[in-house]
Amino acid sequence: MIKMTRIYITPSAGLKIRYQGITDFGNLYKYMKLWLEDRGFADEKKLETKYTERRFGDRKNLEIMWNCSTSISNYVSYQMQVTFLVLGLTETEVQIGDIKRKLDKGDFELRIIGYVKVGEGEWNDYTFLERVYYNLVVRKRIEEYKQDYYIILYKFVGYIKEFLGLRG
Amino acid sequence: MAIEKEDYVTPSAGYLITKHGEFNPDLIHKTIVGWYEKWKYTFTEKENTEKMKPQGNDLNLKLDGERKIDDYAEFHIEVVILVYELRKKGTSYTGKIKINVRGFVLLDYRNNWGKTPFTTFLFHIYNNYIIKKRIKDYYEDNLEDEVKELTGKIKNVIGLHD
Repeated sequence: MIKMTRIYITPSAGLKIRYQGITDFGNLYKYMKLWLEDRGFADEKKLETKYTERRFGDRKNLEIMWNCSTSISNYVSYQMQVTFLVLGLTETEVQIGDIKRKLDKGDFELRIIGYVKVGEGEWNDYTFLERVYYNLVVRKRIEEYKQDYYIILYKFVGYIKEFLGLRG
Repeated sequence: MAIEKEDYVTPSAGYLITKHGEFNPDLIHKTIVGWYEKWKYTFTEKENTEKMKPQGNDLNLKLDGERKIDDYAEFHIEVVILVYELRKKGTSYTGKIKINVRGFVLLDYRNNWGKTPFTTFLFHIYNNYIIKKRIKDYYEDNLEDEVKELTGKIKNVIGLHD
């Protein structure tokens, strides 16, 4: 009998994206949120589970956590955890062409964990027919779900990397 | 030497490629990802770090590819790219680059064996006596060829002799 399980498509510690330099953090935060909302992973109210700001003079550190998921069926959902750790964030003025823009300078680290959650609730909560369906049908589709979610998650990672101007 | 669960075909610390001078990190990344795709590896970019520094940017990329061969063995090729003092020079870049390539065959990737001391013992016997020839002549040889091809491509793209 199959147990309720998490099938990781990233390393269990997550994918790490780190950028030390100047970027528009406000826009990054906003665009990432919109990206997830557009694809049904998040709604405004439930997404953020932690937002901590610590100030040290004119610098600040941020710790932000997002938990998001999208349900595929009664048995399967795609889960994602995003953690932001921003250190030494300061505002800086940058000349872009003729315009001076205020941007954010700091050490930006993002960790993204993604997994396919198979089974919701306890196994004992399912009826006999649901268990049979699960074992005969859902189990065989897990590989397809993994591939599907892998593509979605890497599009998200690509989007972030493109915003930060990272390679790859 | 006994065959372990992670059976390395490179030194366990990895095969090191170093260059000080001109190279293009974007092209290196593209070459490695393209190679993983060609050989149907499932590719994970574990880390992508860039630090802007006055003497030139530092990069740290960790790429990991895995490919299931059968129900028992999986090939793993990990590439770590470290770049220091990267500066743009015309259309190319200059800096210092270190690339580390590690390849190993992961045996019993489904973890069916090794749950108890007895099954761990059976796992050892199975690998080191029963299917030893298959591991040495098939898994290791094939992975070694693939690692060599990848390192060759990397050396080629950064302008080293292969």
